[in-house]
Amino acid sequence: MKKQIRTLTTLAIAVSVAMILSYIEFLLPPVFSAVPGIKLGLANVVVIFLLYRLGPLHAMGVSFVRVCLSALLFGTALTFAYSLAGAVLSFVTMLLLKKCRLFSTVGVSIAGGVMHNLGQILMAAVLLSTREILYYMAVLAVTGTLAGVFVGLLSALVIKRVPEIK
Amino acid sequence: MSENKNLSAAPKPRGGRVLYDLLLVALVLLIALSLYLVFILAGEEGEWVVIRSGNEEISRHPLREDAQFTVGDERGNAYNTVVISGGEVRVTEAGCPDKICKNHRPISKSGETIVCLPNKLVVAVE
Repeated sequence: MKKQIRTLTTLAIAVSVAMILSYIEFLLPPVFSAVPGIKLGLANVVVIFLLYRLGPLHAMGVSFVRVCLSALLFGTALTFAYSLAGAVLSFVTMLLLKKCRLFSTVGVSIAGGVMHNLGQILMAAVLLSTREILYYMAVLAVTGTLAGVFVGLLSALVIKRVPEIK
Repeated sequence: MSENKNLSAAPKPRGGRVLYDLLLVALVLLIALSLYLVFILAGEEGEWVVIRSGNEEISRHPLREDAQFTVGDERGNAYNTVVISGGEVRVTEAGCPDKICKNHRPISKSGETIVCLPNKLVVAVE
């Protein structure tokens, strides 16, 4: 019972930290706004941390709650569809890459970042019936990789430094 | 913090892992480059500016004739002003929150698009 409460509390904190990270990212000046979808993805640090330290189910739950909360607070039904597609594709890819044990958190995070972009773009291509939008992926793959390296290094640090959750 | 030994879940950046990470980066960048090349090679000057809202085509305009018009409701936020001039098309005003369409460079090649996701607007050159 006590352990369950601890886990629940940890996950609640994780959701709030992820929300705050998204907000901090929103406050940063846009680096290059010509292409939609370029962002750092700081909230992914929380998901990767949970993936390594608590397990896939917890990580998935927090990711899902975060997407729902973001849509409720800042988004619309449309942005919810984009975010959800990105989050699902990103999570499944990160889980698979982590399971095969070949990659560090940097590799996992790069794949997560790029797949998040791909999920959003695919959803947009479907919703807007515009195949041409896929060309954005050429730019997003590069920026997603850069962001992924940063987020991956940060995640490794957080996984190492945050004391064990008992 | 004295219990660091228990934190075995944290992955160490060993040589092998870094190699696979680099391979992953190379793969992603290769895919990006080929997408870009496909885009460049297939890029011919377009003839028509097509305005779509979601799946629905609203209007089309010749790219060679200068024009300016607003799509959507100007009183609300769901509007975009499209300008065609000198064989290029761009979005000059937008009520959407992110203004990505407004910051997009002008387009002129067949297959290029400016998309405003919040307003579900697609400006495409064909």
